[in-house]
Amino acid sequence: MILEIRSLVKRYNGVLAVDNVDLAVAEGEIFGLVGPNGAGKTTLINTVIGMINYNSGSIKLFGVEQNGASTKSKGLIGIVPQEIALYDDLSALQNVKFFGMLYGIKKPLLDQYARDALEFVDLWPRRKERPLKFSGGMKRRLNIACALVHQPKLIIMDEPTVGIDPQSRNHILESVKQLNRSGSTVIYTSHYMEEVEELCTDIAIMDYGRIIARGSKEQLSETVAVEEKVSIFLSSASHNLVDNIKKISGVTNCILNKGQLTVISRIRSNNVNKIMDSVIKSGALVKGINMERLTLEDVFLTLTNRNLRD
Amino acid sequence: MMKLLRIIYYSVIKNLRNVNTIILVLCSPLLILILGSSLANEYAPSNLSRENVAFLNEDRGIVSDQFASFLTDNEISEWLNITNVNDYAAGLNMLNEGTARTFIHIPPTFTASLVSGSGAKINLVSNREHTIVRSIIDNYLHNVNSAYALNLLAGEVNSLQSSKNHIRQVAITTDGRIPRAIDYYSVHTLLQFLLFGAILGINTVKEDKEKNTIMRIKSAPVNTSTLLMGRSMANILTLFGATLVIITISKFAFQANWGGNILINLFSLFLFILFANGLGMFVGILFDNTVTAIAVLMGLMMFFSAVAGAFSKYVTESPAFRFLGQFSPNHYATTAIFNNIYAGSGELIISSLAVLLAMVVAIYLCTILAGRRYFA
Repeated sequence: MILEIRSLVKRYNGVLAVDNVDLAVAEGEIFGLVGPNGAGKTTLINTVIGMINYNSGSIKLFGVEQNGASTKSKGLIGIVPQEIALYDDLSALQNVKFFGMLYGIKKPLLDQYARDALEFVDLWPRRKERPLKFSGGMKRRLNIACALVHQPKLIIMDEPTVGIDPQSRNHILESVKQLNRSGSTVIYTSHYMEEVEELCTDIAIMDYGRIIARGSKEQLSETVAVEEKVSIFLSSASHNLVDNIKKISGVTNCILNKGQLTVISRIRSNNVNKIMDSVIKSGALVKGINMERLTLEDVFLTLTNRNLRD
Repeated sequence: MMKLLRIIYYSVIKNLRNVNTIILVLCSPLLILILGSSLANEYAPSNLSRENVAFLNEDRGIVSDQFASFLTDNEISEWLNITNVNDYAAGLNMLNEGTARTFIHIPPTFTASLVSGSGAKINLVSNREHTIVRSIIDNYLHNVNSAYALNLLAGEVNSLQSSKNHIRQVAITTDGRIPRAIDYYSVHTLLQFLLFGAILGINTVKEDKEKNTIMRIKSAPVNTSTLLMGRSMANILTLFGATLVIITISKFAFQANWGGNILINLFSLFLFILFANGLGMFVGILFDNTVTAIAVLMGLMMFFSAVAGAFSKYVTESPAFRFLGQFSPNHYATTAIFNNIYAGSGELIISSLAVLLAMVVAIYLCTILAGRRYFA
């Protein structure tokens, strides 16, 4: 495991920000951490990178216990903060070099790494310009380049696509996949569930300082779903069809309305083949079929409930 | 070490691209010129120490008596503390003991030589090449000779006038040994600029927190103390560079007097820059809001400058301001610099620099103590 967190507790003035969290991230995965505002995601990340101290528990990075003095593992992490963290007085290239230098990279390697990082985010042609002149998307990309310059094994991205255009967002998402393909492990937090759904193989949902669910997207769906819904669009259908389908094991309801047959089954009934057999035997012509699955957003809202948060 | 050097390098670049710094560097010489021109000849620092002088008049002629009388004049006694000695050995003895810094000796044939036209000399014994005494004597003789020449032409040899009413003015302005307004404001305005430079110190502790770069720094294998040290050294380099620019402009464009031992001047300014940077960091740590921190710094800058006489030297004559001046780093820096430029007391230079150094140590200790919690 690249990151192992055990029974981690962090309090701010008596308020529990991280409540007994256990978490492990395997090497080579893109791990998604989602949760509403104030759930404790950023606090958890800040404890991992050594930005803040924690009250109890343990954090192991690359197998090394973190105690604030473990600079070796710090060199293996790249952090992309939620807010843009750049110096406006330095050019793009100088920003990247400055942060690379903090990791002890010396010339001429620093020059090469800085170029690689800027080329990776497609900003090498704009390297001499200052971030002040950049668009929001370009700043976000430079923010990422500064985290990649020292070629970290673990990259922590805290809401890296907030407030940018779809092109830049797409570029960043592709970059994350590319980083992962090249062997980096990524911890990715975002409010955009479709991003996490697209990128992450393993997802944890956090709320009130706790990890309330953990698994792949499918596993998370199963934890909240009680029913599955199949909609079949027909050119013609007999009323016998509805009765026959209702007899299939697991089916709880079946409705035919204006050529749309809606079949509700209990979760994990695995009865879609039988339903389709009945439809075909009835002589009905199938124009289309839609199996509705829960999105990550549905899971998220179900688990964290839909009330607004402060 | 390499990290520290690179932090310094990038921080200097950042400082030089800081618009406020550039504006201040450009404005300071302008302010010096405006104040120096509009208040020409109005100012002389009160913190120049009186020079102890041993005096032996073996001549007792008309000219030497006038000279002795001239030395006891109120205006001259502001600058010189004259002690009459009975013989040459006693004068040298005072020099050796350090109770006098200069020994003026008028030989027995002085007046006779002057009247006969064979040339007159006053012996000046000192271990320094340039002294305020020499300036005063040079100009006295110059005026006496002029008056004598005029009197010869008029046929009234015995009615020599010492012209002392304007000797001081001539001595002050022609030799540049006593500060004019431009000299006075070159030093004071430079110190004010350097206190403005304390804003760089505020930036040092505030910028990374406000720009979120602290997150990158804390997650990197670098100590916060290394970063702060690098930033501080960059600030000091930036301000010292700007200081050299301002001194060069004021010296060569405005003919301000930056004489004396240049190393003492630069060391005084270096200590002051250290203090300014430390003060900026300390104020930046004390106040969460940068605007509030800058406002407090401006208030302190006004106070330090005012009580040191940066706006009007006459305030330093007030006992209250003299008392408050003891708390101003500007006071100690100007005392050291003026006494160095105008050949004042060496003891006063050393004691002023010692107090300034103590202030530097105190402000950095406070900054370190407050900073440990701030960056925890």
